[in-house]
This record gives sequence, C-alpha cells and structure tokens, in this order.
Amino acid sequence: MAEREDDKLAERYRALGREEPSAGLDARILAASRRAAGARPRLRRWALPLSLAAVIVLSVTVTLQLERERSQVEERAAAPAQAESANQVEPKMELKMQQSAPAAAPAAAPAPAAGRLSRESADRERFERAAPAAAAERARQLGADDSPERWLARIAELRRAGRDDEAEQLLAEFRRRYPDYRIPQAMSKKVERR
Amino acid sequence: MEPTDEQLMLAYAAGDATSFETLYARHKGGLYRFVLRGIKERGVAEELFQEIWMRIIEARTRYAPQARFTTWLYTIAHNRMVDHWRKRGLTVVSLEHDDPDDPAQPEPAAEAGREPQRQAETNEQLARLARALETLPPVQREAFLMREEGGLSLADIAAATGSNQEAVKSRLRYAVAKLREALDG
Repeated sequence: MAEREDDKLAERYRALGREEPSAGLDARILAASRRAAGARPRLRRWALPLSLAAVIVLSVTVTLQLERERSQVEERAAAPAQAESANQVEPKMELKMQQSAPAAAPAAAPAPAAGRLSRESADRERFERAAPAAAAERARQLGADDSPERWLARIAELRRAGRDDEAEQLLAEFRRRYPDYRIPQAMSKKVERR
Repeated sequence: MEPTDEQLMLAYAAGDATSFETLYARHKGGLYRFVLRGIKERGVAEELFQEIWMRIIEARTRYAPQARFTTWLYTIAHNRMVDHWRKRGLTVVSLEHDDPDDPAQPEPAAEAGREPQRQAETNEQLARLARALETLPPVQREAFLMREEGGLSLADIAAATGSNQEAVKSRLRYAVAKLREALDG
C-alpha cells in the first residue's frame, strides 16, 4: 500500500517536468572534460624524452664535477711533492723555497683536507641558515600528498593569523582537490570566513 | 554489456574522454534537476551544476571506486550546495538541521507567478506538489531529490550527506508525508 503510494508520488513528481541542462552548458562541461583528458597523454608523450634528457644532463654534470675535483686533488698533492724534489735537486733553491714555503709548502699537505673541511662547514652553515626558510616554504606549499586534515590545519592557521585572503585561496584550492571531503562542523568554524 | 559508472569513471581518469561523455549523459538530467529544485534560481543552479562537474573532472585521478559513482557525485553536489548556502548567509544549519518541523529554518521565498494555470485537476495537483516541494525543509527536500533523481538508497543518501540512516529515513518519511498531503489536496 505504502509502496503503491510511493510509486504514485514518484510518478506525479516526474510529471513536474524533466528539465535538462542547455546545450551550451553541456558543451562547456564536455569541452572541459576533453581538455583535461587530453592533458595526460601529452604529458605521457613527453615523459620519456624528458626523463632521458634529465638523466643525460645529470650524468654529464656529475662526471664533470668528479673530474674537476680529481684534478684539484692531484694539483694539491703535486704541490708538496714538487717542493720536496726541488729541495733535493736544487739545493740553491732552498732559501727561495723556505721563503715561500711558510705560505705554501708546510701547509701544502694539510691544505686539501683543510680546504675540504672549510668548504663542508660553509656548506653546512649555508644549509642550516636556509633550513628554517625551506621548512616554512614546505609548510606553505601543501601538496597532493598532504592529508585533507593537514590542509585544514594550515587554513585554520592562516585564519588565526588574520591572513584571510590566503586562507580563502587555500580553501578554494582545498575544495578543488577534495571535493567530496566533508569538513567537520568544529573545523568548519575555524576555516570559514567569519 | 554496458560499462558501469565506476568503470567509466576509471576509464576517464586514465584518459578516455568518451567515457566521460557517457557518464555525463547518464547523470546530467538527474543532477541538474536535483540542483535546480534545491536552488530554484536557474542561473545560480546552472553555475553550481557546472562547478560540480568541474570538480569531478579535476578530482578524476583521485577517484577510487569504494562507493558507487552516484554517491560520490551527490556527495560533491551536497558539499557544493552547503557552500552555496553558507555564502548566502543561510548557514550550514539549513542543510544539516535535523528537526523536520523547525519553523526557524530559512526558506527562500517561492517565486510568485510560477503556479501553473489551474485549468485541470491534474495541473492543480501538480502545482500543489511543486509548492510543497519548494517549501520542504532543505534536508528533507535534498533526501527526497537524491532518491528520486539520483536513485540513491538510504545508505547512499546517508553517506552523501554525512548523516546516519535513521536520520535520512526520518527526513524521507516527513518529506513523503507532506508531498502526499499536497497531492491529496
């Protein structure tokens, strides 16, 4: 009985009209769907040549760098050896060598190591100086791998800081990435514009 | 055998544009009426309808067929409509409120002059039904439209609206009772 009543209601409801989107609206949506589908094969077509090119560039760069470092080490290693042989073969040069040696010869052996150490510590210093900035940048740039909860936490953070425009942009982007995610009521109060 | 919605969506995510066309053709009418009868202003409804499909397109690579495609589609539609109500200042309460008889629920006014000519009994009945549908509380109207236009089950509607099945059952019961009452005059 109730089912028959439901059927009657459904039938009457259908009689209200079967409106459809306009042809223009259909065309816009279908065009967007084709554009999006087309983006992937194009990416795939370029993916192989691009990665091959990247591998070649990387290999050449690493090889050149290794070559340059090796020749630098050889030069540094050759400096004390030359000083030593000059000492033996050219006694007359001794005074001259001693004059320049404090700057070059005695320091020659430890020089490469010292140079490497100072380079490393400078690099480390640079890295440490850059680290907080890099971390902040990473925190700002939420990626596809970040969870929806992380996105919402970041948006709430921006709202608290009064950066409403950024929060709004991020919320719009969040809606694009996670269209079916239902924002919990409590969180919604934190991320929506007040 | 016809491919399922889920197969079509996966094929589209893999780059097959024609699968989307089939999927769109299957669901555009129901979704359009769902939005149109929920929003009532044609221009706004068309805008929202387009946005919902754009979000489907954008989220295609993240689609995982854990639920029916229609549940996913109507979940996105529900979220988009909640956003719309929020922007209109009607607050999410209007869509998430569970008290079916709460007179405080905001109701956009029914447009004047939409009533069909009362020339025949059928037309009169349909006009009453249309009015009753317009004046249903949004949560009840949404549940009814999801069932009629999307073919969603109780469980699907609960999943799409983030409610429990009992609440959905109650919304549908109230909606159907009011609509039947309108039909009976």
